Amino acid sequence: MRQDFYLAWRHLRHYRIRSLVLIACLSLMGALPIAMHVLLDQGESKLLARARATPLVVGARASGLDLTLNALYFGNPDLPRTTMAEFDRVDDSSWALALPIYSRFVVKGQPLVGITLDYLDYRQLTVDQGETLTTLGDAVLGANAATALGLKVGDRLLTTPGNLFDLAGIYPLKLRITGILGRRDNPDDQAIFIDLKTAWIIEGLGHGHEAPVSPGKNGARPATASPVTFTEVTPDNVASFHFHGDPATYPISAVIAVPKDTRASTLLRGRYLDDTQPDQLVVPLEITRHLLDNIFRIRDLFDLVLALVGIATLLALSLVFWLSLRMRREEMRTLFLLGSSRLTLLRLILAESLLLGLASLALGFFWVRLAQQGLNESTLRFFMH
Amino acid sequence: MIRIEGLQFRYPAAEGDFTLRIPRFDLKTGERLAITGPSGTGKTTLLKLIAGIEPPLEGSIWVDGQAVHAMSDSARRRFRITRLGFIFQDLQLLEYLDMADNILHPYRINPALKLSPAVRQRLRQLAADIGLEHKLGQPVTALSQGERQRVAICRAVLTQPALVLADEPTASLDPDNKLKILDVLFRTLDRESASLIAVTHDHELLGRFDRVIDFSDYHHAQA
Repeated sequence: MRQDFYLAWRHLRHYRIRSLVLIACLSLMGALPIAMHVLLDQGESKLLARARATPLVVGARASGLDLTLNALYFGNPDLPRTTMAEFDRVDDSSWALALPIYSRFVVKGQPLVGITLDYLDYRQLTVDQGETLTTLGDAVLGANAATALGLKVGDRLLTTPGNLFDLAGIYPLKLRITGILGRRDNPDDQAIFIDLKTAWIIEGLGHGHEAPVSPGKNGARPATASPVTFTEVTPDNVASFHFHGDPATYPISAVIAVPKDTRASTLLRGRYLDDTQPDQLVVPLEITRHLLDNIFRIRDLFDLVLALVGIATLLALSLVFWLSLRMRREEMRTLFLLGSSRLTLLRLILAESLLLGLASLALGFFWVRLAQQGLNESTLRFFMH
Repeated sequence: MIRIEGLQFRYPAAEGDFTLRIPRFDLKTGERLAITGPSGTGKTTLLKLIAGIEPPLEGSIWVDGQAVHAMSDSARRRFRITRLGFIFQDLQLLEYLDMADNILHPYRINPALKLSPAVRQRLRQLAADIGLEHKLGQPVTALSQGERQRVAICRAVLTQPALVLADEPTASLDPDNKLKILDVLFRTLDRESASLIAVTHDHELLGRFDRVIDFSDYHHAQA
């Protein structure tokens, strides 16, 4: 057999372009469905893990999927908002740990998420560099967000409206990067976290400005232009920042509720059974499973398509192989004349096929590994977009 | 070396109605025989019959004391491997192998032949004899036609056959090279004490052979 493999190797090496094309075709044919299944399995596992880590979500009544995607993955920024009153309602129940989230803004492609420090604790997000949020205007970056924005601790990040016509949207505020979070391989890596109050300042509900001019002796204030509004929170002006209106009406996009036990969960869910209420409670695990069911239905269809393409490719490759054997008929005749048996000829062909198969397998394995590594970070983005 | 008696051979009907008849034919050990004659008179067919590639319809073929006509397929193949050498008209060198591997090829495709260090030593000796020792590692596509011809000769004699069958061994060469190649072939055969049957249309070369059979005159029939 050694001689057979030697001759097969020399033949494949001599016709290296043809051999490489065959190997590439075979490896891709095998690797594509496997890579797709790896992608789906990774996606499923990550989606379910995130959903399990977020037992309940309360938000404005709209699509449950949109609410889940917003609370878990900071997507769908246009989701109808709920208010802090709803947070208070969950928090006051003492049935669950309540974590408000305000995920409405996007800065340079990264979600800007208003949270409380409890969120960082609950998600076990630790600050790798710098320190956590301590004052208005502070921001901590997820590991990927830091890389994507090219920012480090001490840098500034200016929030800007998504477009020129977003008049009611983001107020420009220069955020101070105080920390960078450790990598968690979940959507938190993509986010820029700010305190909820900072989010409301960007929303325009709070601001800081120069002190108004003192009234005159007769109590009248001179007619002046509006006082200058600060665009950065500094130790000098932080005291001037204040909010208007009832805090209970301040917007948030969702409340993550972590019930203490099953009973608490049931009681909390019971509160939102009435469809006429403006808010709803969703179970992200159920929503995610429903989403995955749909994805897997598509996967089955895709598998079928891949199988058909695979059969067509196999037929084409068989034709190539057969034509190649026909082209080598003269060579086979020589081998026969030189005393080679039919078995030896068969062994030569088998050795060549085996080498091609092994090389395709190795390359296919490489493609799958490459896909696995490449997909690790982008799997969730793929599913969420 | 070879004795043929009452030989009759006919290809299947689909391949024509030619019939080769040879009442008697002998070849002595070490003899160099040229077979000439027009195309379609059975020259190459005779080589195939002697080699056991085609079985005769009637008659007997004895080569080196062995009854080729009575051998099984596997015995004929083993006989072909161990006792015969071939030089094909179009040489049939494999372009994906270098010169050395082309010469060693019979050893790589026949489990009956063992590729020992002694064989490799003989390869180097043969290559040196034909003046191509320095080209052993070169692909055959890089060799001239004359060099390729010499490689084919080396391949034919490396197994130390008793008989070499050559079909137009100098067909594609210029006159100078024809004589040179024939000299190389004869010299090599002498060293290996092998007999030769060569089919050739080249009348200039016939004088170099011990005996010439012209199939135009030989006893054969075309129905």
